[in-house]
Amino acid sequence: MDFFARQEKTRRNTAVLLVYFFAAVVGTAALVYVVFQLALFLLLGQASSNHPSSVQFVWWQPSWFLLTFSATMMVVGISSMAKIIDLRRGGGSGVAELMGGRQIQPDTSDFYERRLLNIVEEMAIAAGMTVPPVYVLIGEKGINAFAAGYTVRDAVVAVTNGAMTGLTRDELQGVVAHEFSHIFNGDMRLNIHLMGNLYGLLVLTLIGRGILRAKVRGKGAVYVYMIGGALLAVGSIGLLFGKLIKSAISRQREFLADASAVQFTRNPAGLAGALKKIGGVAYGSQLSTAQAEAASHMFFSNGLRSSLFATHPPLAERIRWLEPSFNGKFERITQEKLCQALPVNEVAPQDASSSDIYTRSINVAAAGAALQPTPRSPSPAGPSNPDKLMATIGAPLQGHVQAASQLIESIPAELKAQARDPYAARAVICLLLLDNDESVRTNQLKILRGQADPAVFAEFSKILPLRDSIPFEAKLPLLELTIPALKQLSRSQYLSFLADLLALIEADRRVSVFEYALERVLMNRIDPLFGGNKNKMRTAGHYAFCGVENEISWVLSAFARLNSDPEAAFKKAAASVPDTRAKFALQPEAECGWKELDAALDKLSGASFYIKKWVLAAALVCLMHDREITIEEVELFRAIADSLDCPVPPWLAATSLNK
Amino acid sequence: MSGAAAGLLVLTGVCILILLAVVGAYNKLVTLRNRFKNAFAQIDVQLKRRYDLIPNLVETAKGYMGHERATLEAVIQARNQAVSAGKAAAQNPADGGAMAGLVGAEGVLSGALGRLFALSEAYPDLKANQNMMQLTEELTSTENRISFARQAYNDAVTIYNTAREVFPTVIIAGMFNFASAVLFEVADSTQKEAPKVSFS
Repeated sequence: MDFFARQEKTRRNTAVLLVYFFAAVVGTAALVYVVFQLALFLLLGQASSNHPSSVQFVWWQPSWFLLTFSATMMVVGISSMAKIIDLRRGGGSGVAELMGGRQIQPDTSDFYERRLLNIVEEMAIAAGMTVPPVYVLIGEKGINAFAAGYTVRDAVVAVTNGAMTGLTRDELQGVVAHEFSHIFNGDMRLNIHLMGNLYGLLVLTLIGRGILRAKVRGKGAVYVYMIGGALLAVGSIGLLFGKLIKSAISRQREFLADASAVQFTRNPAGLAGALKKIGGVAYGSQLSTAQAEAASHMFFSNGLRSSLFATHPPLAERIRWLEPSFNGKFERITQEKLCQALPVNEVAPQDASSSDIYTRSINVAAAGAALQPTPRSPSPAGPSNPDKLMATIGAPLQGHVQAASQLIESIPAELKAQARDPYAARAVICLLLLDNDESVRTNQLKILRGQADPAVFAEFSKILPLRDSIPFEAKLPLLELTIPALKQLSRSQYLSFLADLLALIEADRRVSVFEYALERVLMNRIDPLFGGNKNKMRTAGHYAFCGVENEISWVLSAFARLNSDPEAAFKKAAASVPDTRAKFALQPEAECGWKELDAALDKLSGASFYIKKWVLAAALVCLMHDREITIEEVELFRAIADSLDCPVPPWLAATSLNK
Repeated sequence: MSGAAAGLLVLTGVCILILLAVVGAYNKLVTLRNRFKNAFAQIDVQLKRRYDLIPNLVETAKGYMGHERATLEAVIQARNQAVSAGKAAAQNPADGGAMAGLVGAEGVLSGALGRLFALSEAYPDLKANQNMMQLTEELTSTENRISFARQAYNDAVTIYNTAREVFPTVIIAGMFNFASAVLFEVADSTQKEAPKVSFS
């Protein structure tokens, strides 16, 4: 099942979850009624003991039943909905902060943080998705991790302090790959819904607890406390239902994520090593935060002590799946032994006190923290077969990780250091936008000097000589590296930076493909943070090709125009789309503008994953029609895939440098 | 359903809505607070960078102006103070006292550094030293980054403070102890200290 089918499937699974949840709520509501009747019975019993006349107690009273039933439904339903909306709005960062996470700054110089960031960067570039923000749960000594967010776009990866410092590089890579797999399998959306729905069931316990804590006086006090206690009891039944639901849904997803992680890294030993450490360390994977229960299904390993309704398959079983020879015994690992567990080639940086202490310590950390050569696997499918390429979307292979790490290596170290620093990242982007044409370049320099922030221009002048040492296929990865840093800008800083960018792009009165791709990626990733249209991605409004014929035509026309034979390429691409009723027309050259493509992509980003898959597949057919892949076509494809929120690994290599 | 029961239901509904509004406001304050805490983290990274450069700077300067011990020691002391103040503030950027402590310590450090640089004007050999030039360059670059990060932090703090003071969020802020956040204002050292040049 490919990436697109998996994303669709989890959308359906979310509906199944709702059914389970509804059943649980009905059960809980019925129980509330029973409790209520019990309270009444006891009340009347007390009252009737004073008045000897016996009153026959009626257990079934439709009006009361309806009342308590609807009240419970309302409370649970509304709080669930509110929680889900809240979680969606907060995005992955909201969940991470809820768990007590602190974001790792992109330009950190701490060895462990740098190592983790390097790993996440490599894997993100290998998978073709934007580098997600990385959070560390500082107070947590257990080894655990999770990925949160509603879509691939606002995904966030969080790792406990114990995992960050206690695992070796390979093991950490396995854990990160596992989390990325959750992102690709679409589990995060399901997890958010799960968290929200279960919150509704939990709310009864919270209310009960609140009532019990409140100091009530008077004769009715006992009954108030009784109600509180009863709500607590009922709430814990609701909690039980919740755990049942969670364990039913999340267990096989964990196995799936393990499998995908192995495919990604080709290194089962890493993942197995991490799991063994969890089994051997005193804290295991336990979390001390109070929110652990709410999000227990999202973690790498079981975050709670009890395993009655476990959200994860047992550790031993998971290890045995990765390493069949495992004997089931966990070797006890003490905390000190964990810290000494770093292999020789991962030495921590010396406390270099020299002029370039900053770059030096970064380089030493980076060198120690860089990818260790793993046995080579055959490189991923070359640019000959569109189907094979489509299959790697959302399912990156180890060859991609190798390629990504090589790409990152090929970028000069100083540029990388600048790219990760919010202050200088702006200059790096300006550098990327410098045109090849001499005259245009002088014009751009003039604009920068005149209009841009003098600080940006100063930094820019410093890195100007490095411009020619950026290999052309590393330009987009370098852009990817700057994104986490740019997200740290404040709103006014971002707006002035944007103004400079647009001025640079318009310097030559035309927008090249690379400039378009750069602008598009920035708009998709960063603009929403500063008040741009956030909700464009949210609703999948289009499920049939008929509704988006025009938009698909625009996209395919853009690719056809880059081809040597536009009509034939377009015809072949249009023919590959499975819906025969839809009519696509090659747009006339004069009207092929970037604005039209923008509008088309915005509409398509709300289409179903099925449609997105075929748009990308058709684009690939169009691209490969003339057997010569130019760098422009690669960049355009990247821009399109990014707008459609589909992670495309860096397998597409330009076979020629023609512009 | 009887009138009383219907009334009870409506009441429950209204209560829930009010609760939701309160929760919404609370969450908004939490989000904004996290945002400025995160913005502080960026300042912290740059400050650490500065603190790492200073010992080397002092060592280099000692080789040329060893007898200016008072100034050099003042720099080292100020630096150590700032390091501990920085650690305290990083623990909890929402703590106004810790932040004010850091701002103060940074001011002292900037003053001490300013005096050091003013003094070094009188030592052309020191100024021509390769190491010294690189360090000064690095320090200036770090200063720029600090002021940049400071700007972003102050923006985030202002947004938080405004949201906190608006009615009706101000009630919820009071209920749950959302304290006002402190801006990071550092006096510009170059303007404050006029170099004391003595021709003796």
